[in-house]
Amino acid sequence: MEKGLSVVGKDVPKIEAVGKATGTLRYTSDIFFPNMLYAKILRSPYAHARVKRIDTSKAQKLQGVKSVLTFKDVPQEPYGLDDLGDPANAIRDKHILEETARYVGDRIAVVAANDIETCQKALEMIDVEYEELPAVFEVGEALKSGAPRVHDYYVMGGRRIEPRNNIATVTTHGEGDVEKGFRDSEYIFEGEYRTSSPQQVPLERTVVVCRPEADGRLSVWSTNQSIHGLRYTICNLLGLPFSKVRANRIFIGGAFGSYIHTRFDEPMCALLALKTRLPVKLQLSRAEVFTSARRYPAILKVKMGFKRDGTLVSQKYDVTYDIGGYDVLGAWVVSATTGWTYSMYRSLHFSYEGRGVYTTTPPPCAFRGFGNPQANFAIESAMDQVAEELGVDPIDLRLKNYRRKGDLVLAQGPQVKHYIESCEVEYLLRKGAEIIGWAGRDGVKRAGKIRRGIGMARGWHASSCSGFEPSGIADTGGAFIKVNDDSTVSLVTALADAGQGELTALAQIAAETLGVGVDDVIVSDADTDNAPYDAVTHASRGIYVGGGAVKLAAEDAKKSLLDWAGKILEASPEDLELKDRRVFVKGAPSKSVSIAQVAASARINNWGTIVGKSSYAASGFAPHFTVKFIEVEVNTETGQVRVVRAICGADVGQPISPMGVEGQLHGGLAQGIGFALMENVSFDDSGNTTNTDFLNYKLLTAMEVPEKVEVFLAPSRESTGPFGAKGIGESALNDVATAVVNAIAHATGVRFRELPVTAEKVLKALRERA
Amino acid sequence: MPEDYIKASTSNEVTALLRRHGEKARVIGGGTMLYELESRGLLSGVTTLIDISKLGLDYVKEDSSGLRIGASTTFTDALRSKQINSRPAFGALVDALSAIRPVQVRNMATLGGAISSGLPGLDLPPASVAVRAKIALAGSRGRRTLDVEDFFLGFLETALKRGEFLMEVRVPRPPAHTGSAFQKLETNSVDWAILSVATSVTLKNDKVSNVRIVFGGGVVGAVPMRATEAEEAVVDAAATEDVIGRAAEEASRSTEFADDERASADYRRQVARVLVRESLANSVERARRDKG
Repeated sequence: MEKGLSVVGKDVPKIEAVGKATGTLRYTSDIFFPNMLYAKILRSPYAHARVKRIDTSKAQKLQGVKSVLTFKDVPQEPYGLDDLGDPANAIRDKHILEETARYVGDRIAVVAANDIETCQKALEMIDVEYEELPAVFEVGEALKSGAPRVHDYYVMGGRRIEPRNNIATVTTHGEGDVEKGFRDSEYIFEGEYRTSSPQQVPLERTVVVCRPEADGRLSVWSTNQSIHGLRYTICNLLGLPFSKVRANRIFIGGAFGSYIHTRFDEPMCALLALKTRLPVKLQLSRAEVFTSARRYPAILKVKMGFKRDGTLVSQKYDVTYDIGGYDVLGAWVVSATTGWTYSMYRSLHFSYEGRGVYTTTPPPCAFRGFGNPQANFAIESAMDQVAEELGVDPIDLRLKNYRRKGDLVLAQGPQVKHYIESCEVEYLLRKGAEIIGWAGRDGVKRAGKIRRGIGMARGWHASSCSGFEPSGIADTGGAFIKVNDDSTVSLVTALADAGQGELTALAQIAAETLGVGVDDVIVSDADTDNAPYDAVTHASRGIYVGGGAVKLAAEDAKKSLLDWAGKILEASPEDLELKDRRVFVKGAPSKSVSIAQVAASARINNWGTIVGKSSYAASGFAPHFTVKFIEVEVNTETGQVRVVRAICGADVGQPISPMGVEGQLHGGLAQGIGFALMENVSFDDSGNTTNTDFLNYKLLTAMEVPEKVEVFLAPSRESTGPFGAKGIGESALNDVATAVVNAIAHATGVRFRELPVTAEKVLKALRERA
Repeated sequence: MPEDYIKASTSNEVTALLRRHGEKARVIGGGTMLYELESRGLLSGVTTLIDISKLGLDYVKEDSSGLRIGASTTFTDALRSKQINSRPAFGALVDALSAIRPVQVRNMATLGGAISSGLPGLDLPPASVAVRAKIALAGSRGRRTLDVEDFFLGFLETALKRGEFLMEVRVPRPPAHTGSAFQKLETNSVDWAILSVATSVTLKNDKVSNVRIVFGGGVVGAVPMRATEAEEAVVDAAATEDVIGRAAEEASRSTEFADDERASADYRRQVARVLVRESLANSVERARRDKG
């Protein structure tokens, strides 16, 4: 870890904590303007249907209704999500409003009116005649020849592409010759794993506010993880110059990937605001949120060949993702799973084939881990079983094969490459094992009604989307810094904070670099007019890339600060250092000047303002690593599983805010236990989502989170990260569910290969076994 | 959606308002179910809410005939009441009241609200049947009492007639050596029971002289269901593990369980056996401690 740090590495309260605790912090839903309209979406009651006739005339005439739009009123060219990569590669298969519905809840029309009640009435007055089309809800069915076609075609790079068997996208990657590898192996393991589709459940529901300004521009606030992505998509889609839209950063009440990209709601709201010339607010109901995003469900087939001593020789992965009715991030999650499978364990031979398959279900979206929790469930479940069958300790099997310092790893696609620099996996495994008492873990087992077991899994995630070769994924960050006359520092960054404490950590980085306190840093409001480009808060990149950009901008400002302090102190800038809001001559503590005085002198003497800027690209993606050791209790009479103890270890490099890292690990744990045991968006035979509220969709509450949670961080430093830091957001979750399921296996002897492992499934399996 | 909120000061005012508004008015207790009902369209047509918190109905009293608990008594206050929490005979009530784990809900929810809403997934309905509670209703045509068992008619349906509301829950004084218990299966602490069971047992010379086995959430019919055949199998038998096991078996066999998104009927049947067995064992153990 770094030495001599005074702000970085210290626990500081979040900069917005008081605002949140007192309810004064403003979220998008708190924004109101005079004459503001409200919008509501008419949604398809059918999973697959074509609008034969739609009559909005009655709704248009209703008092208070200002605009009604249907598919006829929106841009007719299909669009794809293309702000982070080469637009020629985007799958263009969607419109703001659709003529053909491809899931129950698909967007057919939208109304803007004076109030929500009028919107609701107007929706009921829209007369739609649908022609029902055959639907398909499951990838196995969708892949069959003769299955209903969800999309006859999509557009990519200007060409019409007709997906065969509903396969929208395929990624393959390989090294060596896996078949030869299996022939060379002495033990072969094969398994098929299925993962479920939890909702991200952000506390704040999806909401957008668009306001036409007097100068002809449009201001936008939204639950969106990227202001630049927001501007890009609205402008591209509606044919507006970028200068016409100002997207504003605002705190988000949780996101977890569901607000990663601009999909339908923001362009729809923008179009209504432009048509009516009035501010418009579009906020989804909780039921709509449940059908607007969820984790990509996957079927993962794993084949691994080993030597008797546990050396992994050959790995083969075949992964099928259900991407729902539209490609939101389906192609990317398929591509990214190359990295999630490749980078866990070494082997001479490796192959991955992934595909994304359309079904007439609500399209999933990014969710913390972006395919990695799915891959982890297959890989780490398999490793646990292999260890048992080979008679090797599960930890030793992992230590023998894990990719480590100097090894090549891949991330969000086969083209995203990095050589591991910092890697404390061994420390994490050994320390976690020691804390939970791994060596004596059979001692916790009990006979009788309540059985106990201990399981573990390890995971990782990239800390950005950059590689040592161009990755083709927009990943740069940027920041502006200004030092004020009272030694405070203004910081401008485009990065969004959805509660993870990112802006606080960025303020710590600025403060550390400039020798001030974190309270001296003002994280200014940011928008697409005043902030440099920063791709998006995703991929666990906020600290590693965003923080790197802030450090660079602060160092830029530091140059002027030291130059001008040198003039005052009559010393060379190289001989100066910053501490406690003052500039000191090294080795002469009596010779110093306050930063405030330097800033004021610079103004009076017309030297200038102390400013810094940066635009920063990382040279790699610096994997962060985690382990989870979990103890469970299984009630063999009801099938209920309770996590009673959890040890969460992480190698995040130098933590910027250890408390913030701890918070991420606690949150990831809760979300991961939900993934393991209960969370799943499910559908009935007609494709209706059956659990769109918190009675039917179950997740952990504060009362179910295990009481005994221990967090430890490995002493580590990543030289390519700001102050040695890496990310943590995603791997906090990636390995949790697998560790829980491995613990259930230890307790009961039953290995579950399908998530979630509900009480009913556990009881059924135990009875079948008995 | 309710638009009027009236804080009534007398029970006559409440009954008059209910008489006048009929289906359009509803008495509100702690309000903890209001959003759940409204968001599912189950309050459609209700325009007026009548708050009875000023009627002085927050009390727990005991006399020779038994307990009298005012409708506005919160779960927290009921749990704190010595009259309730000191007698193992009322264990089912204590279990059911504490089964609402979020303290925020316990502080607001009232006994009257939990019973008169007619929601079978709640915990108090089966527990109140197990302890043979009676319900005192006030109406525009006077007052009446009825067995709580006869109060529940279906999902959100109760025996309340136009103009009536629940004023008091009465629990007749149980004989000495009575114990009762409540148990439920849920996914998280803000769930409605996937399955719930309340039982009570009275022992005479260590033989079961009286027993109730009542299912709450998770059964077909949407009202608390007594497993009468199982009850009969236990009466007059010694309270042994075997007898309890047989009763649990019988209760699970003879009850019709719901089959829905949250659990299959088969799963509920299997777990019912476990819950009944544990609940009866609990009741017996409490009955042995109960001094009357």
